[in-house]
Amino acid sequence: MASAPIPAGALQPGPPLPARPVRSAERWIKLLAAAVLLALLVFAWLDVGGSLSNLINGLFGSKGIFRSIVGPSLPPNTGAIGEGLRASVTTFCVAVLSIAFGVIASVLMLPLAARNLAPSRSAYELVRGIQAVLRAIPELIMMLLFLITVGINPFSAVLALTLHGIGVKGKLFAEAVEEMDMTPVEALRVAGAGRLQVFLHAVLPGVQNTLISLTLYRLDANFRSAVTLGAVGGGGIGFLIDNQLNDFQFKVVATYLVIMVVWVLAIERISTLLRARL
Amino acid sequence: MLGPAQQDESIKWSGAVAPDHSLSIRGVRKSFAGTEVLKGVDLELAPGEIVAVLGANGCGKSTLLRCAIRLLEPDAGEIRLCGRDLASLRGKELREARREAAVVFQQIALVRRRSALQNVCCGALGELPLRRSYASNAFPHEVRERAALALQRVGMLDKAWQPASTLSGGQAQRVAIARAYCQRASVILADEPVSALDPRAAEDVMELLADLAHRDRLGVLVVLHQPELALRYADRVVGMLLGEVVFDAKPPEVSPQRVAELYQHLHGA
Repeated sequence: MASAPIPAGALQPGPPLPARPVRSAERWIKLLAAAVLLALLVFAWLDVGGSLSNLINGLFGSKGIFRSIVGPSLPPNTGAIGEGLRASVTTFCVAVLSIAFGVIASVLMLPLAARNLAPSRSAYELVRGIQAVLRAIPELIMMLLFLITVGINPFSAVLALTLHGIGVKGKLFAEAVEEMDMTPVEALRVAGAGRLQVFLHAVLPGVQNTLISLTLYRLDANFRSAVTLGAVGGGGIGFLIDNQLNDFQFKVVATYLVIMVVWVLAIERISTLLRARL
Repeated sequence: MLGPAQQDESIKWSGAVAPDHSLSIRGVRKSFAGTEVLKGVDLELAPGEIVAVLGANGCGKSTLLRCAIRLLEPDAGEIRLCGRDLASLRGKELREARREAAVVFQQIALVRRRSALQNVCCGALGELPLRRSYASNAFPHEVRERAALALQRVGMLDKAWQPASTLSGGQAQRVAIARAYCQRASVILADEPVSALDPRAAEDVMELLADLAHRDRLGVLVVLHQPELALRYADRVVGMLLGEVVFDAKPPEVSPQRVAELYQHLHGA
């Protein structure tokens, strides 16, 4: 079949491009950055006692994870499914409650935490500073503190995850507001609306989808964190995994891990579906 | 004995007679980082009048509009909105005085997730306590009725429940004007309201603004980049060049040459 004729001039060469400006300083900066990065990696490897033989032995050696743990874990103990499911529901409850409390606190902080809404620079700096501190303290450390004050129970995990979550979600929410289109906000301000009215009628509806999306995105992360905190006294499936590992009951642990993975994948999938519908 | 509404009126027009001008700008100056953007601008806007401001980019049109309601703080000059000196007001008083003016922006200033009706109701936020405006379904019946009337006035009543995100540019701009109407403002300040619209929608919006000025006795100040629309719909055309008003005349008195001069310096002609 004959191809369509190519219009005259279509294949003519374009005009020569002007020479790309070469900035010697830029080249040196890139080289220096690469050297610093390489040095950092080498230092980190040495500092943690990195060794290739340890890596291979740890994975595939006679005492490696595959032979000494994965092998004895199979097949998983199906008798532990019921108890695992019950405990995983507790873990899910920890994740949901901490997300809910974190979202409420982060939204309440928004009028001060977002630069474009804050009434003064000092109020903004104060709130963002508090959020930075909450973010800087790892969940596990917070959990250890709450174990002392609240006791060994899932509610300690809720509190630890909530406080750390306020630091993370507070920042993410504030940044979403800072990037929003401010025209509707300005329009309502001109109409004489007060700060709270502007917040309720222009800011929140403007970022609602982003906030829901960020919350759903954080839900599976919170579930994983709840498992970890469970192992140090926060209850749920993390607590069971820790107990069974201490007793070398790898088949039971395998069952719990499967349950945990199913939960995480399900939450991830549902949150992706919901976010796509926003 | 005066009813509440009449008492409000008597407070609003604190002088013996109502002011002649909805908006009076005298000698307003504004600088940004040492560059003087407004160099002593004078402008009067009467009730029932539509005034178009023409000028090249950067000549100070939008700055003037923002200074007119103190969204930007002028460095010097006097601004009277419905007879009240805005410069002397602060906080709540300023907010209340500013309610006499509504702004229609170039970008669509609607909350996209809310319906047209909910957006229009927001025009009344300034007069509502928080307990009657904490959510869009908490607006009083009277405000909803007024919003419906406003939508009818701009020919958008059939789209009342449509989310703002689904409206065309022209429709959204009409809803923004309805919000200004629901605000019961005496002055509408429109900052390039038709720049993002196709020619037909632009004409519709300009026709609506002129109609609001003439039938509802609102003062309408509109910044435009389309001289032909200014000459067709405005009662007066103000030309601005490098921060100064170079002409303020009725459309028949504005020659194409005078308009062209506003833009010539940009292109070095």
